Amino acid sequence: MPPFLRFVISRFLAIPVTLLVVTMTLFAFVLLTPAEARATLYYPSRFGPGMTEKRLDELNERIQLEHHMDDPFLVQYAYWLKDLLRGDWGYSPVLDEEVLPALLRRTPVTAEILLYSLLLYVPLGILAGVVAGWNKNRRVDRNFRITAFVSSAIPTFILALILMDVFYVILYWFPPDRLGLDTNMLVNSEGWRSFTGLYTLDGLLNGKPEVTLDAFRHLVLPVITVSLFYWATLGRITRATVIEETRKEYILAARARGVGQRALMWGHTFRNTLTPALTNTALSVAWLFTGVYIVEAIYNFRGLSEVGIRGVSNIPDAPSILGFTIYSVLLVSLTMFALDVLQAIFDPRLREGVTQ
Amino acid sequence: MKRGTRQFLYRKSSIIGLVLIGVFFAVALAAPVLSPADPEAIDPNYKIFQAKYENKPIPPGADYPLGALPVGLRLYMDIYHSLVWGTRSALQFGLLVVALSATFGILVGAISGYASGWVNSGVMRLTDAFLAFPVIAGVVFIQQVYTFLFAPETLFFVYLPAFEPVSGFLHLFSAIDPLLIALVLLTWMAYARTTNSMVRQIKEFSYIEAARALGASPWRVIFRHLIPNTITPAIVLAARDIGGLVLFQATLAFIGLSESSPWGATLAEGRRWIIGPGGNLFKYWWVFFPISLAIILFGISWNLIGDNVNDWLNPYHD
Repeated sequence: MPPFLRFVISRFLAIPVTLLVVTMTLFAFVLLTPAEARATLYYPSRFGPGMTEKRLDELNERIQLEHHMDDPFLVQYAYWLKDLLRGDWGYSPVLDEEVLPALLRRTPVTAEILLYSLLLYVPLGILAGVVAGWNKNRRVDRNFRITAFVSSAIPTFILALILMDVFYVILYWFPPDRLGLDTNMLVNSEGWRSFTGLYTLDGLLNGKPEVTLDAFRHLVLPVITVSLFYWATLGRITRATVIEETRKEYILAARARGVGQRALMWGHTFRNTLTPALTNTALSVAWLFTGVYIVEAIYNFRGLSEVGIRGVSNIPDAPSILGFTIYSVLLVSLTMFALDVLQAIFDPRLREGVTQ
Repeated sequence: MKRGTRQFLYRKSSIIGLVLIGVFFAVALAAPVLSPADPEAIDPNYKIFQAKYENKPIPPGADYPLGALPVGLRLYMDIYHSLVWGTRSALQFGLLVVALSATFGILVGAISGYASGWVNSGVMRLTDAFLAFPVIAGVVFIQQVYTFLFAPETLFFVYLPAFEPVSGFLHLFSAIDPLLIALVLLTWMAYARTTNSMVRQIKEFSYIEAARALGASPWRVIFRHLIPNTITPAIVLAARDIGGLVLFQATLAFIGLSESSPWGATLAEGRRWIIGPGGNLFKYWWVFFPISLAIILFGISWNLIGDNVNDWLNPYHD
């Protein structure tokens, strides 16, 4: 087996392990609660009209029996996992729908913000870090350091509030929500076909560029809000790697041979600096998702966070919160996996299976 | 004084950081003097008072130095009071979470690093699994568990049979903020990872071997030799985390997922005067500005300290 494939497979196999650990931990917490409460996880989506207190108690007891709620931890866990794998994630009374379809339907919303944020901040962060690192202590570097410091110091929600006030309340350039009123009607009309769920792409595929434009207009603020913080972090890490790299002897040797600055910057050292940058991005993905959820909540994008955040109310909605948690972990693992593969493509040591 | 220490103390950015943190500590300690809490208030972090009904915030003035926000019919919330008492609760929260998660992470990292072999790879795999956990999902989850365990009477659902709150050992946890538990559970991994990689490096050094040959027990080796010599990166991480966690706590309070941050909760009350109908950042900036500035400065000061401690303890690293 080629080493690249082996690397990819080993990383892919880490996903089920992660999920197993996470679901076990979650379920251990769930088991702390009394069985009567846990039975609500399996409540039907509709109750008949004649539901009395007595019949409800019977239903609750029946569910407790049917779902083996007196058995030891691992047995209960196995039954619960089986339901999860079958796609039976329970019914959410707050959202008034099944949890798994609710999550799947909202995924493109989150994916759209995430995708454009990554596309914006990863290249910009690496570029800024490389330029600043090669010009250490010059004016470019100082400017970068100040900008990065300020942008990572402003909390997401304060930035979001300021941006929204300036660009929506005062200027009315970039309104909140995912689409404007007209385009939203167009998207919900008969002739609209959903290919990817991302309105920016679907607009083009449906031959309705105005939808794409409108979707981009609404994405500007969320994407900037998410990107600014992560841009700064990524830039700083790249800068530190570049500075370390420039002190190495092969740079001196290349300089002695008359290799130009530009060739050194982008030809000789660039790939070496990509690895730590991507590792860092992969590691911070969980925080990135957290950032996406906050931005969704503030800019009123009805994405995945809606499932989790609306679940926190006085109506007990354990299925939606459990579903949100497991689904988030799945998404984070997949994004981490994608970045790991990208890293292996850039780093020949990983690709060829050389241990570091 | 050693040269590194002197450089640390005389650097402009670390002076700014130290002064800011000093101010935050002073305000936190002097909170009862700076803004006495009403002894009858349910929550000393907020000062709610009655005034003539007007559907807009009260601007800063002699009675209310930073103004007040309407929170109900004829009820107002003093912003200055929230700012002062918010400092207290932010510092308490940040220090407590970081102390707990750093202790736990360092112990896990050091012990598993010392054990090495399959124990270490298993524990590190577990650590990696926790890294895939978006913090917000964990917070939401733990809060729901808390409600089911300790406050089932607040649940409103016609189809829920009555059940008793838990008692016994678990009940001890009911006094703890669920956000604190969630954040400790989801931030220890960084400490475990850095400590682990350092421990694995220095474990092979001869002074560790000498200690073992002299008959030191594994615990003694871990606590006397390994942890003191690997704690530097954890300290840097901890300093930065205090700022980051408090920002996160305020964020959660702002979007309504937690009640534990007076700063975030006050900003959430003021939100509609900034972006709601009739609201405007330039008209009601004082609703928003002082607390935001406090939050930003809190983050900056701990980051400055973290960066400078890093330079101080690893002078050859950029």
